[in-house]
Amino acid sequence: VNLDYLLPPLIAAGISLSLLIMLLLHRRKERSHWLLSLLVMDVTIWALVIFGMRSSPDVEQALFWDRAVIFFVFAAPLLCYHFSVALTKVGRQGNLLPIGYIVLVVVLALSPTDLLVQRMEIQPYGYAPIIGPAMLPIVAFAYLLMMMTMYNFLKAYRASSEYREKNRLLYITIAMFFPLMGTIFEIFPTIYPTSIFGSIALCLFTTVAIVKYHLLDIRIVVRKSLVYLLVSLMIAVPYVGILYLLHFIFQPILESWWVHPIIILLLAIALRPLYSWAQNFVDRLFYRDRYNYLQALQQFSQKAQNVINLKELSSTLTQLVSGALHSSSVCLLLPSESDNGLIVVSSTGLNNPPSGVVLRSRSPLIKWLKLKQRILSSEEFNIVPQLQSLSLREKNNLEQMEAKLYVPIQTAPGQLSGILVLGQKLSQQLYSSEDRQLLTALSNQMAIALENARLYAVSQQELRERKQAEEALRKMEQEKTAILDSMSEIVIFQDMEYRLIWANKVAGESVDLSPEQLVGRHCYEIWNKRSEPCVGCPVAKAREAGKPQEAEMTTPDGRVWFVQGYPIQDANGRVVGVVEVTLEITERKRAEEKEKELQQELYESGRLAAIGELAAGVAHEINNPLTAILGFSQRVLRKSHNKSLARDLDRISGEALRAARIVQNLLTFARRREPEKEDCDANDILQRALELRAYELKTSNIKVVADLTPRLPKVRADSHQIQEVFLNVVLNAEQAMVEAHQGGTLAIKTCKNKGYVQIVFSDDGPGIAKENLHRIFLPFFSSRADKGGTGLGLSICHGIVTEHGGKIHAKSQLGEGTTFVVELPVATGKTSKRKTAEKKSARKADRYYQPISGS
Amino acid sequence: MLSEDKYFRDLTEAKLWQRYCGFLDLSIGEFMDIQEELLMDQIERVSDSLLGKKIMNNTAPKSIEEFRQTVPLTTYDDYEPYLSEQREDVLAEKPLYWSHSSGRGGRFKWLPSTSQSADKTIQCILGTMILAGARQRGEIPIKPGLRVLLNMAPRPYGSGLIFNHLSQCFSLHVMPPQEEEEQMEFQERIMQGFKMALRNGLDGVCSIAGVLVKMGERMSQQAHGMKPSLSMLHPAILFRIARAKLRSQLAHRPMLPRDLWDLNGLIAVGTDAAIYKDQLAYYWGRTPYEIYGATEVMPIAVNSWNKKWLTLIPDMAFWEFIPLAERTKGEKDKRYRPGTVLTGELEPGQSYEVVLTQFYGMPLLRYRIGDLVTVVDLKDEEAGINLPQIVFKSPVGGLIDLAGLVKLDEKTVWQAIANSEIKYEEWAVRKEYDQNRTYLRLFMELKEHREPSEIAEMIDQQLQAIDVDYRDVGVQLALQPIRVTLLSPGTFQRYYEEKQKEGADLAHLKPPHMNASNAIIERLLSLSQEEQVVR
Repeated sequence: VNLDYLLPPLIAAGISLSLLIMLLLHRRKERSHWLLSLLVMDVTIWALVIFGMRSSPDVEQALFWDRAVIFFVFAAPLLCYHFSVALTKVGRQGNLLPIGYIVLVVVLALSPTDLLVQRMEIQPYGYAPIIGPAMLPIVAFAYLLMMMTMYNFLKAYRASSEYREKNRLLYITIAMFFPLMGTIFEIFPTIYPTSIFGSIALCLFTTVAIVKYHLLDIRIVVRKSLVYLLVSLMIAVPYVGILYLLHFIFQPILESWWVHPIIILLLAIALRPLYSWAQNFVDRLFYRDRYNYLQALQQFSQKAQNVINLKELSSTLTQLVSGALHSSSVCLLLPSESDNGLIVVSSTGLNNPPSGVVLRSRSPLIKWLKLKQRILSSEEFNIVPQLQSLSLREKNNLEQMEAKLYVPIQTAPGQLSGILVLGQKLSQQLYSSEDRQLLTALSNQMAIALENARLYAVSQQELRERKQAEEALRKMEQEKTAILDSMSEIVIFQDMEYRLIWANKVAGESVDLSPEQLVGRHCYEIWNKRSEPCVGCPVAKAREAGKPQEAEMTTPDGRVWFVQGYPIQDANGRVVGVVEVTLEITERKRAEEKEKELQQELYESGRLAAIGELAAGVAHEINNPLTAILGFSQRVLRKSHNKSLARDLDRISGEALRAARIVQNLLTFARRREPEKEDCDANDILQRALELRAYELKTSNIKVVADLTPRLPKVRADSHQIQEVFLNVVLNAEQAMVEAHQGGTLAIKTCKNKGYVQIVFSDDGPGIAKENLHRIFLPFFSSRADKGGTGLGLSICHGIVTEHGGKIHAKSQLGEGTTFVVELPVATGKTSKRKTAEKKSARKADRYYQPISGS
Repeated sequence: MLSEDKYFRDLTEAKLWQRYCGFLDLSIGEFMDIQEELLMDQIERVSDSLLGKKIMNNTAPKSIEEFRQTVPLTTYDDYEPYLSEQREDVLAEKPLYWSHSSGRGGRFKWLPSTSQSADKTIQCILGTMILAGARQRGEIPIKPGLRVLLNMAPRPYGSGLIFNHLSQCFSLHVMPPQEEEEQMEFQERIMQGFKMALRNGLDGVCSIAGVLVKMGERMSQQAHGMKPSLSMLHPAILFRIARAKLRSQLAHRPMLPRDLWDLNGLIAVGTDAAIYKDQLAYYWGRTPYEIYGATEVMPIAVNSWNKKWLTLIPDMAFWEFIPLAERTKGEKDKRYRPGTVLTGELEPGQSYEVVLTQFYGMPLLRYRIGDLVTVVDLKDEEAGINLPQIVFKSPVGGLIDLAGLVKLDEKTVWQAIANSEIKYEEWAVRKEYDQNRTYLRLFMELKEHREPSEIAEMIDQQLQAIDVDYRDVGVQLALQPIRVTLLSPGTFQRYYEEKQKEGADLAHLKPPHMNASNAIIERLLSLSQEEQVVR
C-alpha cells in the first residue's frame, strides 16, 4: 500500500467532510450558503471517488472511478463561480452560468465515453488517465469559470471598504487559486496529480475565511469545535500516558472495568482549568485584536471609575483609543460651555487641532449621529445627502482633524454628549468591525463616564451654589440684624403665646439685657412686669384681627411707648406670630409738651404783636383829638371863673392828661425803635436801675437782696431799654409787695446760664393767680387797672427782651411771691455776626411791632 | 484615477445611489434642513464680499425669515455692472470658471462658478445620468468610460464648461470631443458626433430635444435609413448598420436611431423635451430624461428614474417661489415686494415663479430666474419620492395673456401644435389686437400643404383639449381666438442664415416661439416670399 498515494484523498475527504458538517450544522437560507455546502460536498465526493480510483485493484476499475470523478471535477469550478456570483453580488458575466450548467450536463453525458477519458495508464505513482479529445475544451471552460470566479472575488475585494469583508474575500480568492493550480498538472499523466492538494487548500482557506472573517457567520460553531478538539487532545495525551504507566506497575488493576471511568473522571476534574486555557488559546489565536481591545476597554473602565475630572478623562480616552487602534489622530469633541456647539477638549496626534466651535449645535453631522446612533465613516460622510449641507467652516475643521471615523458618544437615544473623531489608521488600513465594536464599547463607557463627570460637576456646582446661598443667607441675616439693631425702635418677633422668638439690640438695651436673654420670655413680663398680657396691647389686637395695629402704652416706670403690631401669616393665611415694633416716646412726649408751651408763647407773641399794631393805630387816631381836648380844656379853664366849671374842666384836663399818658405808653409799646446795642454788663445796668429806685424802695420798706455774680459775660444790648425793663420789673414787685404787706424783700440774682446771662427777680408779694400767669405779658392786662395801671409795662418789657434775642418769663404761685426771669444772650464778640443777628432779630421783631405812622 | 471614478470603483450600487441620487429619498423636513444649512453657510460666505454687501445692504441675516424679509428680490440687472466685466474682486470666492449664457431677450450674461459649486454640479449631472438609464430605484446603469453623444452648447457656455469639468472628474467618452467641437458649427458637430457614435457605439445621449427629434425624423424619412458614404467603410460601422437594418426590417418600420444603439439613457434638454416625449421614445428606444436647469444653476430639478415629474435638488440652490397672485401684484405696483413661499409650502396645482439663491459662495441672491413652474403633486408614489413634484411651465416673458382670462405658455402652444400632427418647419406666436379684440397670431412655415383656416381650426381644437381656461374663453367669447399666417418654405432657414452671418449668438439664431418682437416678425414676413393669412 502506497500511503503517499492513498492518504491525500482521504485527508482531503476528511477535511472537506468536517467543513461540510460544519456548514450543515449551521444551516442558513442564503443561496451562497447552500452553494458553498454543495461545493464542499462536491469536493468531498471528488476526494472519495479519487480514493476509490487510487485504491482500485486494476486499470478497468480505476478507469470506471476516473470517469465518475470527471463530473465532480467539472462541477467544482462551476459551483465556485456560482458561489462567487451569489456571495459578491457583483453581477454575472452574461449567460456564463446557464452555459456552465449545460456544459455540466454534457460532461455527465460524455463521462462514460472515451471522449473525456480514453483509458488509464499505470505510472510510477499510480493510475494516470489518458484524456480524450473533448477533455481540453471542457478543461478550458472550467478554467474560464475559475478565472471569472477569481475576477468576481477580486472585484468585490476592491469595491469593499470593510476590513473584515476584504480579508474574507482575499482568503476565498486565495482558496480558489489552489485548485486552479492543482488541476493544471492533471492533464499530464506522467506528473503526480496535485488537484487533490488544491482541494485540501481550498477547504483550509475557506475554513480560515469562515472562522476568522465570519464567512457565512458560523464562526461560533467552529470556535467551540476547536476548543473541544483541543481539550480532548489534551485529555487524551495524559490519559494514554497514565494508562501506559499503570500498565507496567499495576497491570492486574487495569484489567478491572471500573478503573477507566475513575481515571477519566479524575482527569476531567484535574484538567478542568485546561478548558478555559484552551478557549483562551483559541480566542487569542483567532481573535487577537479582540483581546487587545478588551484589555483597552478594561483599562478605560477602571480609569473612568476613578477619574471625575473631565479633562483628564478626555485625555485618557484619546490616548487609549489612539494606542489601541493605532490611529494617526484622535480628537474628542464635547459641548462648549455656552452650549453652542462642540469643541475639541482633547486630541492626540494633531499638531494643530481646530480651536473654537468645531461643529455647531445644529450641524447636520450632529443631527445625523443623534438620529442614527452609530459610527460614521468618512466614506459614508461623502455619500449621505443630509451631510452634504455641512458648512465650509465645519468641513475645514473636520479636514483639519483628518477625520476618517466619527463615533457618537450618547448617554441616551437622541442625546449626543460628544463625538470621538479618529484619523487614518497608521497602517493605512480601514477600521475593522472589531475596531468599531471597541469604539462603540468605549464610547458607551465614555458616555457613562461623561455623565458621571457631568453629574459630579453638577453636584459640585450645586454644592457651590448652596454654599453661596447659605453665605448670602448668613450675610442677609447679619444685615437684617444690623439693620434692626441700628433702629431706635424695639423690634421683636413673638409667637402666639407672646413669647419672644427674636429681639433686636435696642430691645435688650431697654431692659439692660442681651437680645438672647429675652428669647423665650413673655413680652409683658419683660417690660410691664405683669403675669398676663397688657390691656389694650396692639400685639394682641393684631394677632386677633390679622391686621397691623398700633397704640401708645405707658410702662410702670413712667416711660411712654409707641407700640405697633404686625401679624405674620403662613401660606394658608394663618397668623403664626407678631412682629412688634416699639419706640420709646417719653422724651418726645415731653418735647411735645414743651413745644406746646412754645407754641403758646408764640401764639402770645403773635397776639401781642397784633395788639401792639392795634394799639398803635388807636393811639395815632386818639392822640390828635386828645391834644385838642387837653389844649382846649386848659384854655377854657384859664378863661373860666366859674369854680364848679373850673373843677369839671380840671377833671377833664386831668383825665385827658391820663389818656395822653396811656397813649404815650401805647406808642412806646408799639413804636419800633432800633435798639442801639453795645456790649455791656448786665450787673451795671441792674445797679443803675436799682439806684434810680433806691429811695422809693427804701420808703416802701422793701429790702433788696442782690446776689450778683461777678465778671459776668457781657451782653449785647441797648442799656437804656434793658434798664427800662429792670425798672419795670422792680416797680411791679415794689407795688405788689407794698400793696400786700407794706414792704418785703426783693431778691435779685444774676448768673450765666447756657449762653445767656440770667437776671432773676424774686419778691415775696402776693403772687399771681395761675389763670393770670400766662396773660401778664398781654397789653392792657393789669391787676391794678383800678389803681391807674395801664397794663402795658410788662408788654413793653417782653417786646424789648424779645427784640434783644432774650427771654422773659414769670413763675408764681398765689401767696408765695413771684419770680421774673430775664435772660439776655451773651455777646459773641463778632461784630459782623452780631449785626447780622441783630438784623435778623430786628426782622423778627418787625413781625410783632409795626411802625406807627404819623405818631 | 479620476475622483468620481474612484467612487464607482469603491462603492456598492446602494452607496452609489445614495451618493448621486440620495436626494430623492429625503423627506421634506430633511430637504428644508439642507436648504437652511446651506443658506446660512452661503450668507456667512458672501456677507463680507462687495457684491454680497450691496445686495444684502450690509447686513448678514441670521435666519431664513430674516433673509427673506431683508434681502430684496434681484435680477441680473443688479449684478450686471460687476459680472459683465468678470470682476472677481467683488465676489466672495475666486471662481473656477466664468460661464457664458445667451440670456433671454438677447441679453448676454456672464456668471462665475466656484470650485465647490462645479463639483456639486458634476455630482448632480452624474446623478442625472444614472437616473436617465435606471429602470428602477437603486439601479446604477453607468460606469466610468461612459460613451456619450453630446449635442449641447460648447464652452464657454455653461453646458460646455460643465461637461468639460465632468470629464476631468469622471471617465467620459464625449462625442464629438470637446476640443474638436468648439471649432465646428453646430450642425457640423451633430454630424461628427453621429459618425463617431456609429463607430464607437453609444451608452447615452445628452442633447437638445429638438435635435434628437430632427435626427429621428431625418433617419425615418430616408428610405434606407442612412445615406451610404465612404466614411462608413469601417467594420464596426458596417456591423452596426447591418444589425440596425435587420432590426428595423424585423419590426417592419424604417430604420431608427434605436436600431443603431442600445442606449442606457437619453437626456433631452429644452422645453420641447416633454412635448416630444413619446416621439423621442419611439425614435431612440428610451423614454427621454428631462432636466430643468439654467446657466445660473444647473440642474435645478430633474426627473426621477420613472421620468415622470421633476424633483428639486436641495443642495444646488435655496429655492423660493413667488405665487402668481403675488407676481401679478408686483407687476402692477413696482414698489410692491412680492411674497415668496418655500419648497415645503408649495401647493399642488399652483404655478410659481422661481427665485433662487446660489450656494457655495456664488453671488446670486434671491434671484428671479424668470421661469414659471407648476406643482403637480407633493409626492411621486410610483418613484417613492416625498418631495414636491413640479413641471416646467414657461419663461415668465413667454406667457401670452389672452383676454385676461387665460395665460398660454410656450409649452402649451407647442403641445397643441404637436398634437395637431401638422407637419411644420418652425413657428412663432404672438398676441395681437383687432378692434378691442385679442387674438393669437400664429406664424408658421409648413412642410405640407394646408389651409390657414384648417390649421387655425386644428390648433384651436387642440388648445381646447389641453387648456381648460382656453376652452372657457372660446365658449365665453364665442369665437376662435387664433389667426394663422403661413410663411413660405425656407423662411426660417433664411432667417437662421442671416442671423448666422450677423454673428448672432447660438441661442438667438432662431426667432423666439412666444411674443417675438415686431422687428423679428417683420423680418420673417419680409423673408417670406408669399404669405397666407386667415381672417
